[in-house]
Amino acid sequence: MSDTLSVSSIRMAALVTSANVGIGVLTLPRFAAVGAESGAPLLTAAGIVCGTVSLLLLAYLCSRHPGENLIFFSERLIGAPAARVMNGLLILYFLLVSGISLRQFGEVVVLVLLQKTPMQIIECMLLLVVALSARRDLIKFSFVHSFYLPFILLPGLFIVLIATRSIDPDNLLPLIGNHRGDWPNESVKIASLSQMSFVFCLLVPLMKFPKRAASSVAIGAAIGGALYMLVVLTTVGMFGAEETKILTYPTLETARSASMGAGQRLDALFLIIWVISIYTTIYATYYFSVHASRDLFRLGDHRMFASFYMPAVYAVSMIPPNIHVLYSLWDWSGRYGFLLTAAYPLLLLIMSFIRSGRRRAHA
Amino acid sequence: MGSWRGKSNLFKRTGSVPVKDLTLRKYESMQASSRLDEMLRMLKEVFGETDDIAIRQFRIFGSFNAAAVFLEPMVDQDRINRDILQPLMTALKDDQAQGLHASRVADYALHDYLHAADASAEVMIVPMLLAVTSGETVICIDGSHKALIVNTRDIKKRAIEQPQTEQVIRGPREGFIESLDTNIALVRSRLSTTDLKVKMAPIGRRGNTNVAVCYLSSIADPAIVERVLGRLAKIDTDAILDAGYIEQFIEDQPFSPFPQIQNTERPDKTAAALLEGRVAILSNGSPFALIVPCFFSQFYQTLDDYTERFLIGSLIRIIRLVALVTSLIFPALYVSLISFNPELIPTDFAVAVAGGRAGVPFPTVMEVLMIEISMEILREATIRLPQLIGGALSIVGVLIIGQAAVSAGFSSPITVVIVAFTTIGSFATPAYNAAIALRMLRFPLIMLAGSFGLFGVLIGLLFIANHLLALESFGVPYMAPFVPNSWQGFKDLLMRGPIWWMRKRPSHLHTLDADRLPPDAADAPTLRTLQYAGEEDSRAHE
Repeated sequence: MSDTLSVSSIRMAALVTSANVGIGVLTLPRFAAVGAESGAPLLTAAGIVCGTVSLLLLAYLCSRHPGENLIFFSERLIGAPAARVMNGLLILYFLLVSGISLRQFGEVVVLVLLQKTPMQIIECMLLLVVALSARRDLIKFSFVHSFYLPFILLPGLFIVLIATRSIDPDNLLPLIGNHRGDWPNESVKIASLSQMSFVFCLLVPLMKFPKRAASSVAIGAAIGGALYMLVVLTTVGMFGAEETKILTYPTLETARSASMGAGQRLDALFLIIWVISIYTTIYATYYFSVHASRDLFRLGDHRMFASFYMPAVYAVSMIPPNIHVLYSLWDWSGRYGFLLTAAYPLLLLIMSFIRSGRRRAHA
Repeated sequence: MGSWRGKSNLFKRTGSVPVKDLTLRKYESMQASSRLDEMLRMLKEVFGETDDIAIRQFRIFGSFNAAAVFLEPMVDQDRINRDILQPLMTALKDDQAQGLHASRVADYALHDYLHAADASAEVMIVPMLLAVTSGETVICIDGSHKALIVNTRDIKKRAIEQPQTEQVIRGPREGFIESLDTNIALVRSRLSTTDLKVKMAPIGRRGNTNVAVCYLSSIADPAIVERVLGRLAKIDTDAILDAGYIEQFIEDQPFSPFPQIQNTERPDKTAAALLEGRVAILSNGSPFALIVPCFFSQFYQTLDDYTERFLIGSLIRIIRLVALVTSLIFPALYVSLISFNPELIPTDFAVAVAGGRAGVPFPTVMEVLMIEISMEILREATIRLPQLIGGALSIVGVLIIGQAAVSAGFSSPITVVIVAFTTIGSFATPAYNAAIALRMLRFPLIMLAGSFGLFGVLIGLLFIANHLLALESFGVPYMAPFVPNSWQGFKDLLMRGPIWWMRKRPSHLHTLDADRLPPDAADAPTLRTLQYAGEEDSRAHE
């Protein structure tokens, strides 16, 4: 059964897109506007390129070791103790990201949809869906992502389309913003959004053609990045940088004002569909932790972790006392997380080059 | 006909060999006796308590004592008279009779005198007993170790009729009946190819129900065929009374609400499935064929899609798909919009809804649940009633109860409209078992909608979709060809592509021969004449 045992290139691209597009859709315009004012689209582009390059490095690294996944070959490249510490850090980082994303999700749903429902219940429901589906194997994991991809892209494109007529091009000028912001720092924060699809490194060994991993990831990241760009362009173009800075969820406001023009409020509907993209993102990060733990501890089955990480993720999501702490934690984790998820594969890649060079010298 | 065990390499011996019944066990390794009185004593011992057994003693060729044993209600007595007794009771000429020894009578009679196509000689007791119970006639001959078994079975069967559950507007009207032989003939008549393989064996310790597995050997994936045979071999039960029993024994995920095996009453649909590389399972006594592996998309496709022209077929299929989705989520959407997000409804309509709901004492979710449940009761009641009363009752039920519920202030008119629309929508799904799965999943969705609004509905849908994505039918992903996707499969997924587009068989079935159209060199001579005629015709047009 070739299709039930391997991952096609298309499904790989779909996985990367649907994992990358997630929580950031609602808040990214604010981050970008705070970082570079009217230069927000340019900053976003910089961040996306930064993130995509790091993903490509990872994909190339994985396709150099097509037989096994990151957890295993890292131990060969830099030695078991060091690799285990780094892989353990990765697992913890993605648990942290899952928790923070879950909390952000809870905050939005309580704010917009279900004002009277306790946030804890909403978070628990989503976490339950994620944990139950994390019990599936890698192939089913890739099925889920390619199934939901249309539901993630189409509503975003729809909102962008109906919002286009309210864009004022003046809001997007000057292209590089009025003040010299801290571009490297800010773009790294945006780049960290791309790292949600880090989990693809576990699927490369299952690909029919592991050599195509890099091109699939490039396509997937480009589609996701294009959606992010469009959202930032529309939102900043519609509200202007200054106003975007003070909106908590600028994209939601875009959806609201755009649909008001059509005589109907559709923001709730947009938010509901957006739940799917949150789900796929948290699923991707949670699944990485679950599956990598299995390989790290050399166990045969990952389902135990799927259940045991639930309380941990829930606890993380409960740490920030309010939304401000939540977003500073998000900033912090994004910055250092990107350092981890980009530098570690880079290190491995260098080691991989050195080692293969030495092997050739010996031969 | 042999055991399923021999037909599957997958079967592994488990501990002890299952024994069919105690009497057969007693005679398991026994050979027939050459003495007629001994044989008759044994047969009377076995069938002594059975009053419908008939033992007719006579003399073969005027010189050898013999007895014909059969079960009276299951045989065609005219045939016994005409094809067995009459030829065997003629006296032989002296020169023929002189050389004939009693031990050779059985072979002589079988080869030269018996006018029956399905006849054989047998030395073991157990096959003889099984033959009697299945309506065949056993002829024991004094002095011969061999007994003759002649098929004289005549079981009443109904005529071939139009299938009740799968009506078509345009297409063949024949449906399967309860007789396995007839059903196989119906399939074979549509696929007259040597590739069509039919494997038959009895299943069930007591019932010994004949079950047939049909597939096209040059198309179907051997791994799938092997898997089907392996699962059938593992069935351990007393009797198979309907193909539905088999379905429950061999399906992948018995706890899923979704059917993972397609059933059909239509021989043409079965033939089409075989041509796609699937495997059909027919069982004696059931007018339904099981088709494996199956995709979810098969449950909203009908034969009409293919017999009608493709544009119309595609439109109708899309409408059916809309009805399918509607029957799942419409009431839940209604509940969550009314209770949680009325701002999504156009203002004028929201006012109308609020007006209709004035005076209704229950929350929307209760109201919808009550009307839905009463609708389900009506549906179930109408199925069980005789057709004449059923028609009357459904009209009375829908008109009177709906009208009365509204005027009694029990529910709002919009709720009745929504529920009625949903119910009708679910009847547009051609497969009853898939429709019922979605109808039942509607209830948890309504409850989720009542407690968490649109968010609850979406979480419920995520659960359902994730479950569907994880399902497999005989190792083939259930949501194929959508996920995992195949571009060829998309031609027959939402729309129904023109028939000349669909040159490939479904790729997820891993058929041995992926192309529907054979290469030109493989055309049979008859086809060539047809093509020649076509060319002549086109020249005439020029």
